[in-house]
Amino acid sequence: MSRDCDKARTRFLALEDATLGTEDATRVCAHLAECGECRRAWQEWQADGRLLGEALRPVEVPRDVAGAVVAQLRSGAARPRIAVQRRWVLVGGLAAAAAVLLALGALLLFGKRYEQIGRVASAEGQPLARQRGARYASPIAPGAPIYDGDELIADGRSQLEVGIDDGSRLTMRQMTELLLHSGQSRRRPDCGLEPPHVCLHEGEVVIDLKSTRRFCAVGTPLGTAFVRGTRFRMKYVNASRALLEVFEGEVIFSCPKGEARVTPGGIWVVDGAEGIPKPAPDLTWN
Amino acid sequence: MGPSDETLALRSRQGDLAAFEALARRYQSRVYGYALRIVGDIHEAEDLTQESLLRAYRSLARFDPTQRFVGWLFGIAAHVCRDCLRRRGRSREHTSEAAADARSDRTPRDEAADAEERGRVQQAVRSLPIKYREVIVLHYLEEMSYEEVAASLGIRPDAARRRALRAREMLRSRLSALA
Repeated sequence: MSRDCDKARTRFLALEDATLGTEDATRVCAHLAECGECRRAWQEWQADGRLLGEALRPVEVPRDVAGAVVAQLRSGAARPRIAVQRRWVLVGGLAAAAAVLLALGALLLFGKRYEQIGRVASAEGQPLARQRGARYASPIAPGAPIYDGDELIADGRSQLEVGIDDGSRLTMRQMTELLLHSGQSRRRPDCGLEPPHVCLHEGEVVIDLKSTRRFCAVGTPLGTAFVRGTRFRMKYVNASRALLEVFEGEVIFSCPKGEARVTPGGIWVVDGAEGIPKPAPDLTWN
Repeated sequence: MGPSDETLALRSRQGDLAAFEALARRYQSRVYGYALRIVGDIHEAEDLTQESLLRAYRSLARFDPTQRFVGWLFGIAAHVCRDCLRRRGRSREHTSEAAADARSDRTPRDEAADAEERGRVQQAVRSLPIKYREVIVLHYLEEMSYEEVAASLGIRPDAARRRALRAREMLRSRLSALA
């Protein structure tokens, strides 16, 4: 077997998968045309692939496992099975759990109360931030730290841009109030929405997400916009109207009446009576 | 067409069990098929399917909705199956895989001939070390690209391709030996 044969055979996988570059594919095909041994090897390779596809064909699960899982979850009895002969694993696990609980207790007692998630990148006017549990909001300036659970407020003359530590950016327009739930803290958000999100109480926020580590949704009383690698803006106008515009990626808007996939290409309006967002080509943002 | 997997996963994460049930029904047979091809035992595969779905529900907080749910779910199933094989060791031989493959639309003679061929290939796949077996099963059963296989198993795409190439070479020699 020549060096060319070796080279051709290591490329069979990519050739089958159609991921080989045009130049390489042409070279391998030319070699197959002139080398009978490699041609046979390639035919065997393809036949093996077909055999694998046939032998590993899909099968139907014989009983309703999904139903059993959900029943288990509903009854709250979802626990992993533990083999009797592996009891020592349980003992070790309990010891480890006790150690983890001790560490968590120490963290609760002595650890940081607030987790910083970003900083103010720029500010106009006099935006304010109110830390969770604080009675009053305080003015914030560029460079000020932003914590999980902060309520941010921009009045009619203020705007604020926040750089999140995962590279994402939140821009608050004038007359906006929002609350940050990055999902990293142990506290549950008051609004009941579980995923890490921005709770938009009033006004407009433009979001440029670099990851969903800190935030993956914007919640309003009318519904929630779940994001996928997205840059978009959302405006909660009042209890019966919200606006949504996606610049990149897509947003799944979910509310009690259903859901809709919002893609780039104009403004979408959420009418409180109907719930589901609809394109509004004639509408302007302001 | 119903809601996307990712939307259902996000709803499940908020505690919506009906959304999770829809997801679990959508994938139970595929997870079962994967587990069966990895462990080779129909009863064990059922248990592993159940364990994978439960583990997926408990881990939803870590699901990144920018990624495909199916890849994430098979990553969990792969872990569960690996744990099972580790617990089991190499002492037991499993032969009930073929029972799941019977198809009612074939004559008994055809089915017997095909079953023999399939059994031979399945035996060869089962004899592969687990790290090669899971790549082959995800690619040929789940029809995942090697990028998707790599994402599910937490390895690099070129590592997935290398494993697949090595697996195919091993399979070729084992199938020749079994023939």
